[in-house]
Amino acid sequence: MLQGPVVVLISFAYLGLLFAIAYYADRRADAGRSVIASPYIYSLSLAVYATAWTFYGSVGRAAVNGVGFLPIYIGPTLMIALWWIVMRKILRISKQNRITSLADFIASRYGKSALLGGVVTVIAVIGILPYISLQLKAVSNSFTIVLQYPEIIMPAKLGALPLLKDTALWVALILAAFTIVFGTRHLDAAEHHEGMVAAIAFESLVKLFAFLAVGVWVSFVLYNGFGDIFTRAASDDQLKPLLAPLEGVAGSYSSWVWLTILSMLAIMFLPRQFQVTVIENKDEKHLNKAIWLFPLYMLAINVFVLPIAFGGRLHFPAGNVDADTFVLTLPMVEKQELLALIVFIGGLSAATGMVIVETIALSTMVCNDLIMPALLRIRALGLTMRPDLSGLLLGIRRGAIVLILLLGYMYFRLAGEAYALVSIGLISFAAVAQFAPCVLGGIFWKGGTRRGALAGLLAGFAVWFYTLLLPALARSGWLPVELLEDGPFGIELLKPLALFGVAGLDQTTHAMIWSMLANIGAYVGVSLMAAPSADEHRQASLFVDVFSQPDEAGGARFWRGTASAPDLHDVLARFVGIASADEAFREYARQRGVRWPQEPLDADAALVHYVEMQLAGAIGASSARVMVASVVKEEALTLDEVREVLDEASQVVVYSRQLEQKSRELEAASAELRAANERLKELDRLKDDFISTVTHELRTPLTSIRAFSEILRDDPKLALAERQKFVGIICKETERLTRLINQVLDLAKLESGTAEWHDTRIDMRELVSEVVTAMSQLFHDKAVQVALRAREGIPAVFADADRLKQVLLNLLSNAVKFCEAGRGRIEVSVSEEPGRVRVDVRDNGPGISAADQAVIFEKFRQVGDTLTDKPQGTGLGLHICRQIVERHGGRLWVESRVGEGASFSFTLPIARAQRAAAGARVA
Amino acid sequence: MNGSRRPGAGRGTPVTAPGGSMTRPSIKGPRLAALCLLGLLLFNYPVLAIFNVHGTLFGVPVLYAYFFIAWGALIALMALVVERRD
Repeated sequence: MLQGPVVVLISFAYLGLLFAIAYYADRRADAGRSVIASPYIYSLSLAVYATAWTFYGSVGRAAVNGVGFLPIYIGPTLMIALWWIVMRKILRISKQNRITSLADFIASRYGKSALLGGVVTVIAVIGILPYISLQLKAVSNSFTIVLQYPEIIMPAKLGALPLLKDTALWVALILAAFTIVFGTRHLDAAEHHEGMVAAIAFESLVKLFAFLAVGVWVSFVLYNGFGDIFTRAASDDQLKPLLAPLEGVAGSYSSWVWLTILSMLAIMFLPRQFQVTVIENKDEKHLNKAIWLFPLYMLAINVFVLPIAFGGRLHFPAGNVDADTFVLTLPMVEKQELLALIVFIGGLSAATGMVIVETIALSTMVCNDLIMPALLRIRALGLTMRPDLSGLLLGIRRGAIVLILLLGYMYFRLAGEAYALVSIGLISFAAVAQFAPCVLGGIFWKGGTRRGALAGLLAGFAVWFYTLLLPALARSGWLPVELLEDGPFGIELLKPLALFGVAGLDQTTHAMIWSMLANIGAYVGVSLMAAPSADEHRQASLFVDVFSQPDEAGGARFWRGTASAPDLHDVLARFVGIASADEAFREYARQRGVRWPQEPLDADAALVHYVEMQLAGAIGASSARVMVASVVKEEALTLDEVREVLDEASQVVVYSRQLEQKSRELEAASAELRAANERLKELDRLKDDFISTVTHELRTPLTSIRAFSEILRDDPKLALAERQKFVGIICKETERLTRLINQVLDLAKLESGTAEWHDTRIDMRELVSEVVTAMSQLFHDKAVQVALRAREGIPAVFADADRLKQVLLNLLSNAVKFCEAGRGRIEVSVSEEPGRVRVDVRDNGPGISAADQAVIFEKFRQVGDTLTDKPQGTGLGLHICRQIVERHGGRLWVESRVGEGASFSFTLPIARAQRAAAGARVA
Repeated sequence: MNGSRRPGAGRGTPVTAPGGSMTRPSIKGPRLAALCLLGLLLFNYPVLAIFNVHGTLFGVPVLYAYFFIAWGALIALMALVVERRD
């Protein structure tokens, strides 16, 4: 089974399977039904972190120094715990600013600087070359080993191969072709590669499965469980030191610490990790599951490393088998062909996953952040005039992929043989760690400037190059070894592996300490030397304050200029195609309720910002800026203006709150006014009624008076008797008029509250008899009998005596008025009710119908046929009585039935209570 | 065409945010940061020195067992903090 052709065939079949998965996922994505919109797929895609280094190299390292391989996985676990704070911020920023790569992120943060983007790209490419070479080495070595089956021969022993026979070169070329087909079939505006994500999620499962399979087999088939392996190891003199107690736990503690820190940074800043974690992320919420699923994956794939390592050492005691190959050679030596094949595919899986994602990420950076900005600036090429640049972009990316892989192979040839896999990988880790200060500083510190970031990156990279890359080249013979032993030009203090005499550290720790010192020192120092420019300040705000910004158009606030919508459409179409540009504009217009293209779009700051964002998704932030700037006449915003805008914004917030409050108060006040207005209108109506009625009432007697006076004047020959009669009428009418006017005045006083009240203690019995006596003449004239009924000891009331007399007078005269002469009987009774004194005036007149009862208390209303039975009153009497009684806190009403007389009653509160009531009213 | 003279002025209808981005400050962040610190303590000197002793746990050397058990426990705690309804 392990013959060459079979292995090759199966390898290609596996690659074909990956391609099919990617193709399917891309098709689903285009149809809008994404396969990868799942937190589990997302977490699995993050496991691209585990490469051939994990698959082969961990065992290699463990076999040499026990748990020394673990920090590389524990570090990420710890960093991922911080992802909730750090990564969420990066995710949010990247989505808002349409970031397409790590270089784009850094360039965008520091004022959309193309120079910075270019520097980051170069550092990333050079730094990752060792890592890529590691993968090539692993795949080609494993292939070579498998080919030697059933012999176990290490590839190194086979000697250096001529170029064309070098498996590694063919692996590099095949992977390049594969990656090109995988990742550069078309341009995606947001740099999403859904197919790639699906494929590497699948690969993560394959490599985990393969590793677990061989781990289980070694532990429980080859040996009898963990206990068996470790007991045997304990009795082996060579292996015993590796078990606890370890000398300073696998090297020195400082080594341990720095390795942890290094891995913490690598999980963030490896281009492939940034790509899958940030750029390919579909939903921020997926981060939740990833925070624990991904560390769990790492735990699972590392459980069997130590058993395999020790098992291998025990199995190959002679030491002629590289520990890096144990996962493969153990099954092979035991003739487990299927298992060996599975392991081979697992290793292939791990390596291809890394290469695909890393080269796609790097080629995107090379295209968007290195080459395109440079090309756009060369006016001679006239690129800004070309109608369609998508072909050019794809071409650049494909070229970049091939170039990167060939460079990786070149590194492999030059320096790859000197080190074990893990050491090679750590060189790359240290390179990408140089991005940490400017990125982490960039999202938390607004003071970081472009110059500072540039200084930090260059300083850190220089130190890295000197302390890690140079020694690797020197050790492989491409540079004189004296460089390492005596320092450059014999200067001992500048020895690459012991700068300034700091010796005794392993080379990774040494490099990390010095490079971080240089990097952070330069970044902070240079940033503080000058204040950020307007552009930087704006970008810094957008990044650092991303969680407190309300909407995506935040960037639009910081722009000013003149533009035309058709020009913006053209520039967008040039890079993403007319269809996509139309779609984008339609979406923008829809959000504003404008029907485009029938209606024109306002080319304001928001539209320019929107177009720039869309463009950034295709060609990177700095290039997008250049392109948009070419169609827009921009006016530079000074720093003060930017600050003004920010201040304005915060002021606006304060003002709007004040405004809200004022408008609430205003509403309340206007409600009150409305109510008052209603009341006034009502009163006005009543007043009009009153005036019209009064004038009518006044006019009636005046008319009579005038009429009769005229008769008297005009007819001197009138008979005396007639004359007496008429004068009598005139007198009576004037009396009536006077009475009416008095009553009206009285009523006006009562109703306006300006009447004077002289309240005294009154004995109702006395008062009533007084009034009855005073009216005795009237009673006599009308021959009406009056009876007074009142008990002794009725409590006093507190009231105005004259007014009460007025009431009684009115009631009694009414009673007399409506009694039949000669047969009338009036009864006045005074009685006590709980808390009140009650007075009733009963007559045996015709009675009052129910309908009339309601009416008689109203102003100017009288009962009786006004034609035949012209009453002498004014119609105001009862109304006034009611006012008076009610003012004293009492009640006035009538009880009557037609034909059975009427009984007018009123109550008054007893003295004590009334005084309290009066007191309350006055207060 | 239309030029805005004052920043932000003269814009069309403001685009409403797709759900505000003002999130309630969650306690998950600080808790997870505490777990990170815990991890840094657990996987460094001097705690490691405590477990750097002879002996085995289920047949596995104590140090190795400690690593994986502590690592697993840390992951479990992280899962607990993250998956809890806020």
